[in-house]
Amino acid sequence: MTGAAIVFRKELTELATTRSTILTGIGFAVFFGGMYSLRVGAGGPVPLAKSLGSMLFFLTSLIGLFLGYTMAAQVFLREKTDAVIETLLCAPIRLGEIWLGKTVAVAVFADLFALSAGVLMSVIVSLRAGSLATAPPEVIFHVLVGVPLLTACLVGLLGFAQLLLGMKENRIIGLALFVPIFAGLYGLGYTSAGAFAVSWNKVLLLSLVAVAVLALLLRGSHHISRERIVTSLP
Amino acid sequence: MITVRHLSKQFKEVKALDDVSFSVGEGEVFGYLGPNGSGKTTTIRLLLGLLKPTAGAALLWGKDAGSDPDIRRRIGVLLESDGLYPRLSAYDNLSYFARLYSVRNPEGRINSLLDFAGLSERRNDKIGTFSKGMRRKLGLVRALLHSPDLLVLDEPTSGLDPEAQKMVRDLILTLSARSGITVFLNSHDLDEVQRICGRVAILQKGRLRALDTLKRLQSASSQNGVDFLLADSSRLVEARDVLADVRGVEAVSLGDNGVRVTLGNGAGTAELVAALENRGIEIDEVRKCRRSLEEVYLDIIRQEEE
Repeated sequence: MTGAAIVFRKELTELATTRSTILTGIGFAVFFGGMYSLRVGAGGPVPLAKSLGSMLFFLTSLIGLFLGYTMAAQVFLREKTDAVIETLLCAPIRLGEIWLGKTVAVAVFADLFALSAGVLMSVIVSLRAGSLATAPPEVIFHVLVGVPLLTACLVGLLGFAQLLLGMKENRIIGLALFVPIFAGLYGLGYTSAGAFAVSWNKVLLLSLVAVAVLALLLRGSHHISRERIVTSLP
Repeated sequence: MITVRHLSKQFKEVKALDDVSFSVGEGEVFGYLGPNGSGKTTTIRLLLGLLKPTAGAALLWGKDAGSDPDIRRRIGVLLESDGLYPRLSAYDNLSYFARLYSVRNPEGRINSLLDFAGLSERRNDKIGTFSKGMRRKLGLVRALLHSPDLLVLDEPTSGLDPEAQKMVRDLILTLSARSGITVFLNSHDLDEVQRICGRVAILQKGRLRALDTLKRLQSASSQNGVDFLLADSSRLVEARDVLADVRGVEAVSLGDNGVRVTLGNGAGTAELVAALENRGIEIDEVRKCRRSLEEVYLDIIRQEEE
């Protein structure tokens, strides 16, 4: 098992056993899944599948990104607050592997709730419509591939910034990364229920951008200074 | 195994370490001493590759631990903090580090070490519920998990009860004698260092003030003194007065069950023994006085301060 996989497994275990994180995730999935299901079909004479698709696109993106944002700080600062970082840096593992393991763990965990919210919304919409409502394939691709990649991209950026600053949480940088993405997606979703056309080009472009950013971050994470982290310890 | 050559480290205006050189051989138990802020932790961090030197080199097996994960695989560390995750159980903590260090048969190794440390019954309890002493013991278990060749210990017995302190000391000596493991020990507990270290370095204000075997350090700084242990402790004061009158005696002081005499030029132990015997004071033991590490350490530190 590689270093990143070991870190991934450990972080996922810690996230899955933290009650507050799970409750937040469930709360988000149920509340927004239920709320957004009411907006499907409310945008005028738009086909149900298209309306459901655009709502699924926004809902899963928002939940994945928001939960990723809230979990990133605790996961990336955990070793410092628990005074374990110095010991961990002495282990035969590279800083890049730690970054990757944490990033993927948060992205996977946040996306479980995003996916649950999507499923919940689809079930409610189907029940209301009296038949099984399905989203277009490009939206399903986005939910299953694009959202995890976008979430990993945001979490990776936040984690990278924190490690670069010596494992310090910089809320200004965190908000500067998160708010524009969140506000943009939320505003778009709120104002264009059913009218926004999700296309293959758009979802593929989003996924490719996320992969490119992640690749750059992974390369950069191997060059982060351990000294900066160690000298910032109390 | 450990080679430190002209090592210096500067943090902005502060020179934390200034031209320090020493080496530690395989199987050695090496004590690294110094007051707070003397540069001990900085040295350890440089050795472990957590910091980069401003000048000189800190090498393990001839390599920089910071850039070589294979070198780090051969080191076990117990630093100031125990290096354990408080929300994970004892077993999960050890299991995590066992995977990071690619320990073979981790289950068996973890179980035997937990047994050894007397923590088997708490294996599924979260570290957050452990006492400081238990955490320290588990931290040591974590450091030994992958059977390292070098053990870097920073105050390993801090927070432990006397029984556990003895267990740790015995363990270090056993590991060094049987497995040939090298131990780099940073400690404020001079008694502990005296019991287990063969060689020590004393650091002050970032500079190395002493580096030698314990025996030589103690002999070099010893005054010409003799300890007399008496059979009858009620005659200590009388013995002190008798000895003080012997020609060539510079000073006499009382101990728990004996008298310590500092001799000047021309005085010999035979005259002292004769003086006591003439007064009918029975002597249990006469031994050349060897100063404790604490006395040696304090002398070196004070000399430098003066």
